[in-house]
Amino acid sequence: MSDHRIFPLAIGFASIAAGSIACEHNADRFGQSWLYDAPQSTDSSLTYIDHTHHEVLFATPDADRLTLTRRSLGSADEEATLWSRVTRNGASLLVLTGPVNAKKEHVSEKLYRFSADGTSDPVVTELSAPFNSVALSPDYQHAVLYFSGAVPGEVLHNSNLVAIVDLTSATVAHEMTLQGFGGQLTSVHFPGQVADGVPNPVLVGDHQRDIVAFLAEGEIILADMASPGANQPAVSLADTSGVNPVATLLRPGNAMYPAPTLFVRFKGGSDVSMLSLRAKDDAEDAFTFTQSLLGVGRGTSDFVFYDDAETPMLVAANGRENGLIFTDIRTQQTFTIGLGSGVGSLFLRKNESASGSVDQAVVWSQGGTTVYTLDLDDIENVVGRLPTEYRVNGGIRDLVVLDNNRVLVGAPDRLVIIDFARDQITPFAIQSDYSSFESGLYDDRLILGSPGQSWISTVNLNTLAPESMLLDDNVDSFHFLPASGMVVATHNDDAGKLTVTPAGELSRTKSYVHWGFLLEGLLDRS
Amino acid sequence: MNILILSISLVGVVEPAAPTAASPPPELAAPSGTPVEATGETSSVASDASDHDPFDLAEADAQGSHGPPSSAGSAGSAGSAGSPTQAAVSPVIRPQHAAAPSDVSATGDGPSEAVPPSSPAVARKVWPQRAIRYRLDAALATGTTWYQDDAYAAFDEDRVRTALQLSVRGDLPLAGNHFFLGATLGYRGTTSDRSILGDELSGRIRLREPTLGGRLSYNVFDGLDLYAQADAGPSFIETSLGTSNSNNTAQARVTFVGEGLAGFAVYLPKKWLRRRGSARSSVGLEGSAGYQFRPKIAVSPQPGRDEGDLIDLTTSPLGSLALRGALLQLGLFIRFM
Repeated sequence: MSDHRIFPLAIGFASIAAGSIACEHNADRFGQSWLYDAPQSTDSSLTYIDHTHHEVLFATPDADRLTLTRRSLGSADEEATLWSRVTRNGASLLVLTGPVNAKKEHVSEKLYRFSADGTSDPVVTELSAPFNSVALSPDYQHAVLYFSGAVPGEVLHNSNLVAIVDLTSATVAHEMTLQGFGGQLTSVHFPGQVADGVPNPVLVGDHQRDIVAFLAEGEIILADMASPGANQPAVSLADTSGVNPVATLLRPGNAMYPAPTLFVRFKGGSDVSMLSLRAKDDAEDAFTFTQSLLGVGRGTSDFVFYDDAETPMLVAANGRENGLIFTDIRTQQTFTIGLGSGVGSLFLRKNESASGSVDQAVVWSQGGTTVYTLDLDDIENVVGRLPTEYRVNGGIRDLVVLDNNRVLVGAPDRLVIIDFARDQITPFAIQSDYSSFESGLYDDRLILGSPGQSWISTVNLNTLAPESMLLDDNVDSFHFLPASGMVVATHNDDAGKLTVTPAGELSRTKSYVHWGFLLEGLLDRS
Repeated sequence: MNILILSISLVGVVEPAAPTAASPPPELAAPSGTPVEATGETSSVASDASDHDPFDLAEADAQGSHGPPSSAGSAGSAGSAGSPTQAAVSPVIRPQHAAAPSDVSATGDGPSEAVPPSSPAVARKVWPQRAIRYRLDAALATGTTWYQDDAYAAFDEDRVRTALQLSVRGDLPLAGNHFFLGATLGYRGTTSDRSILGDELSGRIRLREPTLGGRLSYNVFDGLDLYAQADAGPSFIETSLGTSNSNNTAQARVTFVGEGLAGFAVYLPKKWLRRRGSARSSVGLEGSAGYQFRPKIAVSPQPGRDEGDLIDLTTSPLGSLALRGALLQLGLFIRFM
């Protein structure tokens, strides 16, 4: 072999070897952990925030297979994920990102809004602050971002800065500083929206206003999400009602009481503040309120408003009184109907009876042993009306409203379905503690799963016949995906493992296990 | 074995001692079949090396030096040279010209007192140059591969893997006795593992590869070969991934491995070996460099599952792995020829 042939060959080999050695000195991309947040479920997918690659992983199951979609959240070198949240209707995933450290001052905060399965491009909204909390409106139309407490790493931030984001369009966020009294913001409420998915603006003067209430220490500030530029009426409540407002309720105006009224309950307080909203006379697009107090007594833990035939009333559940306290909001006259021990939470339902549809209060408390129902029709004129009692042995740990007629009650050793329409209580013995059970309603089937269990169960609400399916592994988290009708149970595995089964027919033969989805493409990723 | 020795002796020729100053040195001995005049110890020359088994020669040599036929070597002394019995037993032994006092007196080169004192007869075996008709090597080598695909780092810390390889090969001379063409048969196996993703998982890979190939050698001179070699064969690749939740997964794949190498082999030349031109074995070392190729494979290990009525399982692919890169081999071999 002549020299002129050997030389190119030697050069070629040297190049290959040098290239191989050069690759060797790259950073060890397999040494670092892949850090995922716990899964959240949209209505069609499980979503995981991948902090290592600064991505969102959507795991979308159908009857046969799991589809994985990864969406980038920007440069992992410059940005980090601050938090994520699925919207209340499960249609979107919100992710807030910010600079990975203080030196990346050119990086702004961004709010990503992904579709449920991540297949479409996200809507990205730029923000000016690393908000650490978000409140989602029950009508699914707004997200309000705010600061709750201190922000680690932030030397200085405006704790009263909030951002209102319209989730129905790609408009920019409306950021504003609350015009209050300097109290630390604790929570954001949407007092007028009492039913999920139903917008419920109230008429204040000539304006339909979508009221949002900012609850701070000793004060409350109102704003209009439909007109964020409007004024922000605020009131200091520390001197009148209490220190910390904890609950709000907005009653729209009607013929009985024309002014829309916001009720504010305080932690440990004996009074409820009643703020009657009205247009501000001397300003355009402004509103204000008039405050008055309703004495409901200490021990009030929940309230609703109810209009009797002639009387607009506030109904408060009072554990100290062991009953419901009814207050005429016009005259502030009250009366009490005793129920018994275990009064804490309260909601209203329609009770279909022979005399027609009447409002009924359902009362219960955590740790109590009884669920009470009390018909409210003509309540102020009836003497000695007794509640109906549904006893739950062992104590109530949680109560989930399934529909207008049924609730699911979790107890230490059983699950109980109470059917108010049939006046029926059905206990289901369980093998172990369902303290944090998850449930989903699919047609007339109740789907149940609980961490630590190796079972997924279903109850036919018509026949009340239970059915359970044994999994191959214990449940780590349980998710019901209504859009696809699939039930997903994740299992404890570093590589990602889950079981998918159709909610309509829990069956091992129709189920499948998928393994390794958190590490898909491990070898190909840089 | 004694029978073989005997047979060699029987076909030999006994010649009287005929010392001559023109005798060639042993290393320039005549080709096989030519009577050779030896100057050292007892020399035994096969009448035709090509007609004799070389191992017979070896035995004859051993026996000639130490066994009973060695006593025939003393035929270098004049007193025993003409013994028919001795001739029949040691036909190829020729007395040394300077070893017999009688020869000195016969040449008339000087008075007898000038003759060196009589010394024991010293004969030396002469090994004929034996043409190489085949070569058979057994080799043990280490092959180091620099894998280009950094996906291999999921299974090994440094992406440079050394594997021990055993191989046998044989080749035949082509025309001119400089080129040899032959085949190789080899086997190598290697296993490596490491912890990955913050020690949450462990990756493991195992390769087992029998190979078959061809080799073309060029004999630069006795003791140095340059060669080019190509090997191919099935590659049995097992990958596994263990998680801290003790869900171990594994996958076995069979793919193809091919490699091309160019290198050199240095070995003890015949002239350094005791049997010189008739040497039938040698040892050497070799070094080569080249490129090793395997097709890209999809890695998708399956979790180990217990027997029973289990729910159907699907898995996500972990990606692809292309085990290919520069290859450097160093090894030792023993050669039979």
